[in-house]
Amino acid sequence: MSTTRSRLAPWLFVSPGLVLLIVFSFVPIVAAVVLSFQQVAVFGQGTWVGGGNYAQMAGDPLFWTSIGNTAVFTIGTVPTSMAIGLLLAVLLNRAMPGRALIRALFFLPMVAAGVVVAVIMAWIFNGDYGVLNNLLAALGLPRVPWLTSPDVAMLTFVLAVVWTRIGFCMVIYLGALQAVPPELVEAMTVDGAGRWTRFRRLIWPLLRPTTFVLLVVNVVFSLQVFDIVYVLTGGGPGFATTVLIQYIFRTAFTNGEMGYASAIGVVFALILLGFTALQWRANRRAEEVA
Amino acid sequence: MTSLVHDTRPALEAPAAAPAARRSRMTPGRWVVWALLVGGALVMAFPVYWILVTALTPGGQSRSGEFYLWPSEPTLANFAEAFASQPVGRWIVNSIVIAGIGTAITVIVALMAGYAFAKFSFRGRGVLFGAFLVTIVVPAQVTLVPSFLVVVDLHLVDTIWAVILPRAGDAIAVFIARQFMLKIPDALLEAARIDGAGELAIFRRIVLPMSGPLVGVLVILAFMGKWNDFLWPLVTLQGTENLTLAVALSSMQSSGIFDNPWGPIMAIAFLSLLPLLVVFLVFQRTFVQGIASTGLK
Amino acid sequence: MTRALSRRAFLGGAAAAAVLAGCGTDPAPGKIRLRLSTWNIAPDLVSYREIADRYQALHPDVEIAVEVTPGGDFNQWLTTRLAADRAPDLIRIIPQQFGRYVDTGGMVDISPWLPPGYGDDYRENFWSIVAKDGGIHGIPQHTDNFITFYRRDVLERIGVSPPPDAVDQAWTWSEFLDVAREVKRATGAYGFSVGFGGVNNAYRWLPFLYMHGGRLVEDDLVTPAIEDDAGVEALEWTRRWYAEGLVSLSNTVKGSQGDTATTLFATGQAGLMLNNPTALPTLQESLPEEAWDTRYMIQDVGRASDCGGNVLAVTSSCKHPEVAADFLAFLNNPENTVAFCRGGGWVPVRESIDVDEVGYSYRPDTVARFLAQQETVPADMIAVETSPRFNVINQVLGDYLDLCLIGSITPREAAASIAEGIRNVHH
Repeated sequence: MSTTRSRLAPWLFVSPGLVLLIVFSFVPIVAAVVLSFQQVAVFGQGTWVGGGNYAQMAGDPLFWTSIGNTAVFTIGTVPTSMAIGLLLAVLLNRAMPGRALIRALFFLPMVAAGVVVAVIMAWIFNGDYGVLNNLLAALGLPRVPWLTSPDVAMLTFVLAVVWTRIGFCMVIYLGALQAVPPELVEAMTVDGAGRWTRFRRLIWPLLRPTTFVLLVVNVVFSLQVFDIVYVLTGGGPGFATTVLIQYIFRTAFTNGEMGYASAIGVVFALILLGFTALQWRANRRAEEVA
Repeated sequence: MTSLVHDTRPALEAPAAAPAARRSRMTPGRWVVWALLVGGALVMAFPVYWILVTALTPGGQSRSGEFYLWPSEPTLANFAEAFASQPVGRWIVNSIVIAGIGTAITVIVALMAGYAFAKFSFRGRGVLFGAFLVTIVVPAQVTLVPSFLVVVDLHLVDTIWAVILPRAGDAIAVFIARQFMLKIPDALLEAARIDGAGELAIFRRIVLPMSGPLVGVLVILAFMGKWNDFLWPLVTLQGTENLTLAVALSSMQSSGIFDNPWGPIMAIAFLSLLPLLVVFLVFQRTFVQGIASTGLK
Repeated sequence: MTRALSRRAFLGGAAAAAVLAGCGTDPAPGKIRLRLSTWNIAPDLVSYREIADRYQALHPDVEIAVEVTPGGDFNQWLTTRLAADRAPDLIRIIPQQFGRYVDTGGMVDISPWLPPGYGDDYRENFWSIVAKDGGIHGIPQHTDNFITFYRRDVLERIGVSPPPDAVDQAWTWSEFLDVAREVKRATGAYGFSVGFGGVNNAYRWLPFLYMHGGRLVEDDLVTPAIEDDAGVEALEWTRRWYAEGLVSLSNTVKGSQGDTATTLFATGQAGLMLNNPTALPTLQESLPEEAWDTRYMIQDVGRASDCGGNVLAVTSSCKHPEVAADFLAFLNNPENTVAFCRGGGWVPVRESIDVDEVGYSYRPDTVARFLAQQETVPADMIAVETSPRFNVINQVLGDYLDLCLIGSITPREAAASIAEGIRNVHH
C-alpha cells in the first residue's frame, strides 16, 4: 500500500512546520543546552564547567524555594480553572436568556494583554487604595492584605491567574460537551439515571481527551506565567511568590549568568516533559480501557 | 466515539441541533443558577471594565480610599492625549499586520503538520511529534538570546519577518489540529487515493473543506496569542513607529524612572482589546463548533 | 475556506510590503544614521527631536532617529540586542544599570572625541559615574534625588511647622519619626511614604545607610561593610517604619509599584513623603499647588540622598562612534541642556546651570531644592552603584531588605545575608 508518493507525502506536509521549528526553535534550544554546561555572561566566551551548574542548582536554596512556589502555584491554578471552566460549560450548555453574552463575558479576560492585566490587578488588589479593599471598607469589613502578606500574596497571585484561565477552559469544554451524542444522554435519562450519574458515567469519560489536552496546556501555561508576577509582587513579599520562570529570568538578565540560567531552563523543560509523558501514558491507558 | 463510525458526512459541523434540542424550562432553580452566572460573569468582566474606567478618569487613576464604580467626571481627554502624543494608529496597523500574517502562517503550517501526524503512519512519527512538543517546554528566557542571534545571522533583523517567522511555528496549534484530523474518516481518503488523486489534491479538496471549524479555533487562538505577544516583539522591533501595541504600551510604563501616564496607557489598552473582541465575536460560533468537531470527546 | 485563506495571505503580504517600505531602515545614501533610544516621555521625545534637528542642520551628512526604549525589563532588552550587535547607537540609561555595561564593553569610551575638559562643568560625584578606568563612557544629563515632601493641611492639623529651609537644617531621624507618628494619628492611616518602586530600585534605600555613617562596601568596592553597627542600626531604623505602621506594607521594596508613594501622599493616606522629582507631574494633576510643599532630605549623622537620573552613552553596536560622541557633546552643551531640562522638568547635572536660567514652569522652588540636594549624594555610594556587578548586589540587597522590612528576618540576619551575597558575587 505504501507507494513512494505516500511515503514522502507526510514528510512534505510536515516540512514547513519542521523547517520553522528547526531553524527558530531547535537551534536556540541546542544553544541553550550547550550554554548550560558553561559559565558565561551574556557576551564573551564562556568557560566550560560541565555539570557544575547543575550541581550548583542542587545546593541553591532559592532554586528549591521557587520550585516549591511553582508547585503550589500550579496546583492552585490548574485544577481550579479546569473545574470552574467545566462547571460553567455544563451550566452554560443549556439555553438561557443572554447565554452568548454571558459566555463572552467569561471569555473576556483572555483578550487582555498580560502586561495590562498585571497592572490592573495590582490596582484592584492594592491594600490601601485598591477598589477591592475600598469595597470591603465601605461594607464595614476589614481590609485584606492581598499583596502584603506572604501567605495571602500567593493566593492573590493564584486568583489573578485563574481569572485569566477560566474562560479558556470553559470554551473548550463547551465545545466538547456539545459533541456528546444527545441520544446517549436521552437513553440514560429514560433508564432513570440522575444528573450526577449521567455526568459521571457518560459525560466525564467522553471528556477525557479534552481534559488531557487542557491539563497539559494549562500546566505549560502556568509554569510560564511571568508578566503577572513580575508586576504584581516582584516575587515578594520576601520570596513568597518567586516562581521558577522568574528565577530563571533573574539569573539570566539581572545577574547576567546565562550559563546557570540555561541549566535551570533545561531542568524546567525536563520536568515539564516528564509531566507530559506521564499524562500521555495515563491518557493512553484510559483510552484502552474505554 | 460511536457517532463517527458511520458518519461520513463531509460537513463535520458540530451537531448544532444538540443544544437547541434541550428545551429550556426556566424553573425557579434555574433562575437562581442564572442569576449566579450573571453575577459571576460581571465579576469576571470587572477588571476589563476597570481598564475602561481608568481610561475615562481624568488623571487616570483612582487616588482615593473611597469606593466607586464610575468616575465622577468621565472624560475623553486621555484618549485624545494618547493619540496626540503617540503614533497609536501606526501601532494598531502594525499589530494587525504582524498578528494577521503570523496567524495565516501558523494556521497553514498547523493544518499541514496536523494532517500528517493524524493520517499517516510513518517511521519517526513519534519522535518527530515529541520533538515538536519539546519546543513548548523550554522557557523563552533561555532561548531568547540564541533565537535573536539566529535571526541576525539570517539577516532578517529589522524586517517584519524577524518578528513573525520565529513565532509562526506553534506546536500547540499542531497538537490541536492533529486531534481534529484524527476524526477524518480514513475510508474517504483511501477512496480518493484509489481514484488516483494526488496527496496535495486530497488535502485541498477533501481535508480542508472539512476543517472549517478547526480553522476557526486556530485563528482565534493564534491571533490572540500573537496580538498580545510581548517578549519576542520586544527584542526584535526597533523604532517608535514599528512597535506593536503590546510592546508600545510597555514602553509607556516604567517602575520608578518616570511617572506613568496611566490615563493614556489604559485608553490605548482598551482600544487594543477591541479588535480581539471583534475577532472573538465573529468566530465564536465556529469556535465552539470547531472544538466539538476536533473530536475532543 | 482555502480561498478566504489565500485572500488574507495576499492582503497580508501587500500590507507587509507597505509597512516594510515605510520602515526606512536604510539611510539615504552617503548619510550616517544614528539611533537615539530614550524613555517614552512625550516632552523628552520632543526635546531630543529638536536638538537632533539642530545638529542635523549643522551636519547635513548625519541623520538622527529618536526612538523609544521598549518597556519590560531594560536589561533583558539591551543585553539581547548588544549580544547581537544590534543595540541602538545612543542610549539613555540610569546610573545603576550603567556599570555592568561599561565593564563588558557595551558602553564605548568616548574620551578621544570629547573636547578636553568637557567634564569640568559637572559635579565631581556625578562625573565619576562615567569617568572610569581612565576613560569616559558617557555623559550624565540630569539627576533626580530624594527630598522631603509634606502636606500643609496635615502639618497644620497637628500643629507642627516644617523645618528651616536649608540643607543642613532638615529634620533629623528622631525628629522625623516623631512628626510621622503625629501625622499618622492625623491621617488615620500612615505617617509617610517612600519612593521605592520595586526590587529594581532597591538601591534607593542606600542613602539611609550612608547618612547614618554606614557603607555598603569598603573602598575596594568588593568587601562588604554593611555588617557593622551602623549598617544594622540603619536596617533596624527602617524596619521600625513598618513595624510601627508609619509606612504602608504595600510600600516595601518589592511591593511598591512606581507610583505607590505618590498615590498614598496624594490621597492623604500619608502626610509626608520622601521622593524624587518624578512625583511632580502626578502631584500637579491631583493636588492644588498650595496643598503641599517640600524641604530638604532628612538627615542623621551625615547627609545623603538618592543617586538618580540618567547617563547618555554610545553603545558598542554603533558603527560611527566618533560622530555619535560628537552629537552627545552637542546634546549636552549648556544651551541644549537648559532647553531639555525646561521641557521635561529635569534637574541638570551641570554645575553652571541654575534654576532661574532654566525657568521651570511648575514649582521652581521645589526644583531648586533638588538642585541643592545634589551635593549630598555620597561619592562612595555612587561608586558602588556604578560598579560592574551592582545589578547582582542590588538584587541581593532588595531580597533581604524586603524580608527585613516585613519582619521575616532580623536586621542583623539581613545584614549578614546581604554581606554574604556581596561576597558571593565576586568569585
